[in-house]
Amino acid sequence: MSRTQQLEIAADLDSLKQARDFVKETTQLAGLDENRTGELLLAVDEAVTNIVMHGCPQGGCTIQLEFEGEPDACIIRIRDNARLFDPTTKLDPDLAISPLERETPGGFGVYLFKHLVDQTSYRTTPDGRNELTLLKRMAETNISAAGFADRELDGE
Amino acid sequence: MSSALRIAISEEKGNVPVTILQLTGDLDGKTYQELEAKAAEAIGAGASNLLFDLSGVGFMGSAGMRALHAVSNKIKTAGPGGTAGKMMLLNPTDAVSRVLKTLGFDQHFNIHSNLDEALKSF
Repeated sequence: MSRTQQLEIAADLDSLKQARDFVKETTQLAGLDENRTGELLLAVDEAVTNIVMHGCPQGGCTIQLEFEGEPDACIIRIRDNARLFDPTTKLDPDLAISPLERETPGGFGVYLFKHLVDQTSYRTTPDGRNELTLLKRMAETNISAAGFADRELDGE
Repeated sequence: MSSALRIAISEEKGNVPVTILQLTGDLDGKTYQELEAKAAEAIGAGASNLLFDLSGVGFMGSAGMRALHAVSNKIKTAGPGGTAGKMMLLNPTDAVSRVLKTLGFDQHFNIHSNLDEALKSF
């Protein structure tokens, strides 16, 4: 049986630490190890930062975080009423170019969260919000992609 | 509940004068501009050798990386007469190393685990 917990925060930069603390507390209670917790909370921080800075720069939006603990994975769903945007479609930066040779710093947030979790998915909820789902397995596994490919990540 | 970052600045004499920025707290979307501003202030005051002590950073996101990258761009012309200055990193925590490695920046920054060795390498 899965366990869920929720947190609602204002979409502003003052809420970032609150979002990270929520991920840390819920995933550690679920038994996710320290390194994988660090990766997941970094991924969530990047996703939330992206919403605040690019989805709702004018302020006034709300972000809902939902934790779901399953025996083999921790799942975080991030729902927000900012501008509709599917970050999973954003192309990765070309890391073959020395990062310090790039003239413009930044642009790595989406890359980070896509590469720090085991699965990402996006949908628009029936009530018109963004919903980004990040799945982090409890441990490295040899289960083929097919073992997770059919997992239903959609919440609500 | 909001993120907090403290930046202490000190000077050390190695082979050359080195300005150390000791960071304590979280380097995220809320605080990264404070780092950019402090480093710009130091460079504006004539510093061209910067050492970032990251041993007290509990969290760093890509915004922190963005700040270090911006400083790295500035330091390229921070030496006397517009010559290149240097910046190095000291004792990154796991939270910092995670971002550096995932984005490949660990191959491009000079990273030290010992203060004396870091100072001598400028």
